[in-house]
Amino acid sequence: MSETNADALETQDFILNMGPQHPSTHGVYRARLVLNGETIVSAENKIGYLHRGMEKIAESRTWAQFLPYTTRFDYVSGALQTWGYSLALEKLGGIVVPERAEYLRVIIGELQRIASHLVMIASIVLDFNAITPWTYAFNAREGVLDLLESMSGSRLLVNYIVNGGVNKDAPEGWIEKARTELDKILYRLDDFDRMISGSEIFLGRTKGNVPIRGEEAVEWGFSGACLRASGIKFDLRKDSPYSVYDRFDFEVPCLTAGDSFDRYLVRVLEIRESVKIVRQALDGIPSGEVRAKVPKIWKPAAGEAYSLIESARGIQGYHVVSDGNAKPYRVHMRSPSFCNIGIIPLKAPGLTIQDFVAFIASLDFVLGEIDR
Amino acid sequence: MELIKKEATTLLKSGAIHDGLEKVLDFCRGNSLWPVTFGLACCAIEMMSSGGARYDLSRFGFEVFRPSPRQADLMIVAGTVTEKMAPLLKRIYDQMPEPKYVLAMGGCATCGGPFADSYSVVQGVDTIVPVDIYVPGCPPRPEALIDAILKIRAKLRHPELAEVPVHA
Amino acid sequence: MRDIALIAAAAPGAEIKDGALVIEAEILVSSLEGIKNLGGFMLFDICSVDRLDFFEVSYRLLDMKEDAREVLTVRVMVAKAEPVVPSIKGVWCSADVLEREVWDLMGISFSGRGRLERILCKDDFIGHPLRKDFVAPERNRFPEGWEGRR
Repeated sequence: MSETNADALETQDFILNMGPQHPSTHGVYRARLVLNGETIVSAENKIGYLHRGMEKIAESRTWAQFLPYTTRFDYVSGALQTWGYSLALEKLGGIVVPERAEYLRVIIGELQRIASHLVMIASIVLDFNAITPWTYAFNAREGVLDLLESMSGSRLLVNYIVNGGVNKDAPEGWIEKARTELDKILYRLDDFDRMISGSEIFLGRTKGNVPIRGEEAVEWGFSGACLRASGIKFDLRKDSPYSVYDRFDFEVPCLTAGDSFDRYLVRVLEIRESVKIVRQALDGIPSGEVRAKVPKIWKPAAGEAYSLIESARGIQGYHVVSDGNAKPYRVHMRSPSFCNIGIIPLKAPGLTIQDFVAFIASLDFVLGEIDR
Repeated sequence: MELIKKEATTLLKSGAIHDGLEKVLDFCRGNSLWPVTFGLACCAIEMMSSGGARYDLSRFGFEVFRPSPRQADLMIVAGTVTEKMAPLLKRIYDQMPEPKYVLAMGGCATCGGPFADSYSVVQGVDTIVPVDIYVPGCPPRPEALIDAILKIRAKLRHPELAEVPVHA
Repeated sequence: MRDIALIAAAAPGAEIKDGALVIEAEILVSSLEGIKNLGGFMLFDICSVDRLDFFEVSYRLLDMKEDAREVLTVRVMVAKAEPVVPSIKGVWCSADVLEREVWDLMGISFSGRGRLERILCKDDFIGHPLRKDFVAPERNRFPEGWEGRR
């Protein structure tokens, strides 16, 4: 019997569409994969399945009417999205935000960041078929959503941070409730951490999975936790503080390997840092007004403004252009996830589909933000 | 013996056995409606929350979200349907075996929602597939979603509840 | 952000106007290469605005070495008729997806990077939605006589 060499076998490349309806693509994301067996030969991002034309809609709504639309960009962390937009409007109109409002913004923003990171760590283990830790993380998130709901009225898409300050003041007893809730979140997070961060299966799937070097990350416009996992310690809250972030004492977790495990671990550490920030803000919150006086139909002077915030996924920018009317002339949103997925066609070749799933789960993108 | 055979034939021909069997099957189907994962946008996060530990879908038998439409019988369209996504939605719907039900969750799936005047949004998923129940909200609370799925269960068992009178 | 005069010196042909750099489209690539060689800049956004008489494309660069919140803006004006800007995909890799988005939504094409494909709108979409003279295709879902918000 003659010996057959496996390499001499003629094989055909197979085109597989992963998504847009897929349990592990975190939304309507489609990856057009060319496979050789189970190994990816090339990958293309095909996005736009959730393109709702928000930037065009902005031109037919007033400035304040567009605010709830901004929460629909990154729907996992809704309250942080309105912050970027409000900052841009305040820059455009020269509005000064009262101090109590700044503290409330930080509290709600950091709570929303905790909720968003909990979704990421829950989703990455759900993609590895670990359903119980997913319920643990979502249960911790329910506590945060309760706080957001009692403050603003909405669980998920929170229009709390508005042009000039915040919408309403904290209700009676909210601050004490927030303090107890933070303890509960840390308790659940410790449970989760113990279960997952040292688990052999999780480490086997994420350690060494697509390491991204720091210079590469900057080349490709990375930002947020993915950048910090690649060794570049860059966080807008620390490096160029906006709002009242310079008054709080917190660390910026930064890891060096740049693989999927580091991208996950940075987020777990960031949840702990956010809890620290919220505790300090709750202790130091001053009394006073919660919103500057902004007219109902606001007509800023013609001009443009650009604002940046550190959202849960990275650097989010809003470019607003006004021509003196009550409606915006142009609103553009710089979405962190949009630039983060640019690196997928470069890094995918050579991975198997399981590794690919771990990679895109660790990038933590949200299609509402990518497609706008 | 002849009498039994005659009775059995009459029952079969009149459809009484089949109806009885269908009633039993409907009861079973109603208690295990398996949704296909069709979370598109923000409502998908609320759908995930309703499958989580607090608003437990599992107590009704509905927590098994099947990724493959061929193993599911309920399609929860959670989120905005854009014109790029519409043919894919129809394809997934076609792949589901009968009897199948569609739940339009949220304002966007019902009528286009806040994006109804956009150039790329389909104004309501019922322009593409027949919808059994609409859930308003942006996003609807998990309790609202569970209420809607239970109404589908009631509709399944008693189809006459959902009949719309036709005026001449 | 580092002193803007310093940055303008590194980018040949750049003028300073209102705290931003204005560069002609023809010399864009070499000017931005000059800025990149200074080190520490990240291209993180390309915005386009339809100013009715012309298009304005602004490149936003983040200075990661000093006060990042002061964003460096580089503006390029292009004519309305045949808007073409040289592509900077070879300078910063992040420009790839950002330029495709500008082409898709505003119709400004980028030369020197192969065929531009739509990224957000559907593949057979006609027109460029964010232009001020864009008319959305007719749809008949709204009841007769309701103008909606168009």
